[in-house]
Amino acid sequence: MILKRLLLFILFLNIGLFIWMDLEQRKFEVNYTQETASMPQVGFQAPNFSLIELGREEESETTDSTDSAVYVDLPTILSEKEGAVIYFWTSWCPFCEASVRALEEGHLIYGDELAFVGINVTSQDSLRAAQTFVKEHNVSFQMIADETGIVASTYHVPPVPATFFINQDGVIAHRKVGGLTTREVELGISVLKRSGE
Amino acid sequence: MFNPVETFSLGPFTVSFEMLFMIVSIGVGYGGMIIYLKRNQIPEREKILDAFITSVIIGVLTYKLWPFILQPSLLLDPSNFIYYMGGPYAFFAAATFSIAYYLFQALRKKWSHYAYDGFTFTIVLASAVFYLFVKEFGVASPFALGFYVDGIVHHPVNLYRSWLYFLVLLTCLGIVPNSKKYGRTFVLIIGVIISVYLVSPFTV
Repeated sequence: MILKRLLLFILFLNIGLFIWMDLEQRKFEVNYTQETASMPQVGFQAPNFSLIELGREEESETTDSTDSAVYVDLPTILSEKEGAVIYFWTSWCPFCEASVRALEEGHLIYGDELAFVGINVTSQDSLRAAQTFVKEHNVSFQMIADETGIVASTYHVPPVPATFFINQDGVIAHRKVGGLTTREVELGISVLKRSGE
Repeated sequence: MFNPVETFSLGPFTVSFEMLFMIVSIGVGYGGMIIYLKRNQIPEREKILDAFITSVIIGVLTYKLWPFILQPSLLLDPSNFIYYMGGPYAFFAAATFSIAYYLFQALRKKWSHYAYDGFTFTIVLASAVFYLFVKEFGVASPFALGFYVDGIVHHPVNLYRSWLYFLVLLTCLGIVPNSKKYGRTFVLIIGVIISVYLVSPFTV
């Protein structure tokens, strides 16, 4: 009997505690102006990056990293479109080969509204192999190279392929690790669009 | 505690901590179900445990085959079975099919209420164990305790969930007698719903 009462007391005490925490949270949110933290997880701000376009690596040696003609950064991508699909890949990965077809289809349909950007994890690949892959698969969307692997590491990649659907506010709406189908690209985009509403 | 998106290599495979602890929690849940059924001396124990294992397999298969359900044309190339799995809503579909199979077996074989109580107990126990190990970052918090990201404290939502689920389990086992038909199932479901509601202001 005492145990039952004790359990019920602890249960109701916790319900009260959570209600109090909710009230404190509401007060806190009224004055809170900071953006959500940057983390490669759904609901959080996508970590920023500034990388060179694939095939323009030599120009990077003579160019400032703020030069938007050579460097591609996330805020610029998002300012031009309603959101972005960021795709990490390597040329040796068979899953990437299968997924790139689905993304290419997605790009042809949604390319006007959304930016499709492929990030080659060059630190685990080679530039020549990456460029050959892009040509062989007739990839029409933008490709950039992560030569040091810093961006990939920030996004917890590998495993490749990893795809992030980011809304215009820079918030990750959906994240998929592994092969992508056309239907999954469509569903990911619908989740992205809903998250921005 | 582990970040769900972090991975480690296991031979040729890359395993995420989320996946690892999902397997661990199912294992713990299964162990919990064995103990629960044993302590209540259920005659159809073996059949119930078999149905549970089959329901887990159905869940895994649904998750694996979900892309093929959404896009049947993928079936034309057998190599696609290696490349694709999961995707949007795959987890919910897998959980739905898995639970539906178990309930169907329980109804068809007219098992006693212990089969339902044991199953609900297992799901809540597995969830509590999973959330204990896998981080879920919440919104920025006014409190000092939590996960620090970019110098900002975030609510440790997984710990809230795990704590509440364990509390619901303990309270349920402590106050609801096992002879009460479907009593534990009912209390556990209500407890989980209330827990989800209590935690919702802190989730992203």
